Amino acid sequence: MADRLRDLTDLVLDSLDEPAADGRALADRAHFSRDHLDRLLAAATGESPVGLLRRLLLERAAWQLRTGAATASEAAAAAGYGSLAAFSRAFARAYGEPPSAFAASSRPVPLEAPNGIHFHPPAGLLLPANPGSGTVLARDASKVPDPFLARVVAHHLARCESCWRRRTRCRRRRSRRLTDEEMDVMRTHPEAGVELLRAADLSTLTLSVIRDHHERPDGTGYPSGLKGNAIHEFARFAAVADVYDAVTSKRV
Amino acid sequence: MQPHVGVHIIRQGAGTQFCTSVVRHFRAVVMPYPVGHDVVLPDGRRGVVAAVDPLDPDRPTVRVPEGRAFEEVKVDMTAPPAVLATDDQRRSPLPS
Repeated sequence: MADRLRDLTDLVLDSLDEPAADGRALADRAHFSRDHLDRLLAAATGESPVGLLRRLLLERAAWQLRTGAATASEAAAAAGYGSLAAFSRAFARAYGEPPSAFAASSRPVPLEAPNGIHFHPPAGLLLPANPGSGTVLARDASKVPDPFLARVVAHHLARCESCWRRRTRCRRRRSRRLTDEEMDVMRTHPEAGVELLRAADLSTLTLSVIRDHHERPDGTGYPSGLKGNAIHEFARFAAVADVYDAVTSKRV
Repeated sequence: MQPHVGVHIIRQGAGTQFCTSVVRHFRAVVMPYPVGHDVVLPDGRRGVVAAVDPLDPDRPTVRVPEGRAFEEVKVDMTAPPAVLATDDQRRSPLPS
């Protein structure tokens, strides 16, 4: 039964990219009548499917604004609002402040909810977070001084797409190489990731994997240029997984 | 990008970019043509991957619709050209 609930919530989560999906469309996909789906989800989560979807869309928009992944109007479109004004109203009602003020505020991204279902960044790591303070990422990314660096770190911790988005938006060319300067910043991201996560109470081993996941056996990696077996086995796993994931996953 | 391209990149980097034994284990568990994927066979027909032999991952068993029935064929995907049908529109890869 728990799995069935999982399926249903996944169904709602999967439709985040089709904000136009209404209760009927969701119910169709679950092979339920609309009333039945509403009742089931309401009983299990305390929210209707559409209410849940709408809240998650707002949380995603808030996350996009906070990380700079999208402008207010892009976030509005992605969340299914026809106009910026309508989005601003709905956003202000939910968060108590307009989208324009949200990026700089310290308000947590997750909204209050009768259940524990929240938007988290695409396939993101579920990092431990203090209750009520948002994710570690949302809280700490703002402390990293360089916004581009913050983005690179965020990309690696939670596969945040904003860094890539920024590149594609720059030129509308998909394979633009990073400039040397950007590359230098990029090369600091494993260590920056360690700094960022020091507060998250991870083991030394985990931190070392984060630090060394861009080391290469032939010594061409960074940050330390370690060779062969000097790289911990887990970091060698992480390197393979990271590259495979980077080339096969869809960056939103 | 399609899984088989990703697998190819990992394979090419074995020894230089990636640890050889890790790549060997990776290849044993990550199939270039995952079951359920739409594929275009080298001969141009479309089908769905039905089974993969982990010992021979480049030759999946593919179900090809034939009128109302299905034909199951074992295909050597290394014969050119092979493209995964569903991923045609995907963005080009970005280095990590």
